[in-house]
Amino acid sequence: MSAALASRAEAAKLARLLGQRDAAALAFLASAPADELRRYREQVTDLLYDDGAAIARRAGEAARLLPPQAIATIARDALGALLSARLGGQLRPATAVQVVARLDVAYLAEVAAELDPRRAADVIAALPPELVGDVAGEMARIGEHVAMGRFVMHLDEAALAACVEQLSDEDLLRIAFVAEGKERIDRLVAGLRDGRAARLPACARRSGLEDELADLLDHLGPEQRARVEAGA
Amino acid sequence: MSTRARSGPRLPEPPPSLAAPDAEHLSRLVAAALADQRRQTAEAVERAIDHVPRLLRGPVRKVLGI
Repeated sequence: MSAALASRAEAAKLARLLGQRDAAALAFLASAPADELRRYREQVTDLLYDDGAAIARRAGEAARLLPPQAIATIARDALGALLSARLGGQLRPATAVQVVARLDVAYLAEVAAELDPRRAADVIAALPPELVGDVAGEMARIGEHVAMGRFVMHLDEAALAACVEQLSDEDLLRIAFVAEGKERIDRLVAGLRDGRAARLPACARRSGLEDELADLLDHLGPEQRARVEAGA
Repeated sequence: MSTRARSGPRLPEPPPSLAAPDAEHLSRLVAAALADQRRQTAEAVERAIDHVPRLLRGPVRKVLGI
């Protein structure tokens, strides 16, 4: 990845973390090295999570007093996506699965967009792959590609495959560009069927995502790179 | 540059290669995100109590420390 593209991707992630929907508002960040921006983003992530850690932990303890239906109702009607995401990391995985089953996909997509997958890895791993795919499709629909990029390295093969099924070619290019764990991009492209890999270049040209395509190609091994370039 | 939020933890030092005005702008955005998170959390906890079954409100308040 070129230094400029790496900085652009990091700037987009930082903008999302700070709740700036328009990444252009932080365009000045693209002049900083990506490593600096990534370190800073990780520090800000820790700051935000650590600041809310005590109440999230107590909310997790309080949730143990309640049945899953009550937790789901409270999450949906009272907590909002941000605190629901923090709470999700505090629940036992089995409880979290029962709560998630009682929430609709649209709300789960909002919660997932606020979730740090590193802190809810056990819960994510316990969810049915089909549900993960449905949530991914909804997140793409509401434009949460940067948030989705955080999940790439935390999903198992079945969940990742279910997500790919729900995402458009344009979504894949946008998510791969900001993905944490770029080493999984090759595997992700290997899972594309029915000529999808070869359609990516045309999609990139049509959607103005040439930089995203160049970055994708930079992270592919020879075999997958050839599959994508077959459509160039 | 101050790197301390109005109350609470120290804010991270912005990336050193940023110009001073950009670094200050970035720190202000981080402080605003932190304040917004605290406000959302406080409001959410208050709303949540209203949804807890009446019999469990006392124990839940106790666990939450409110």
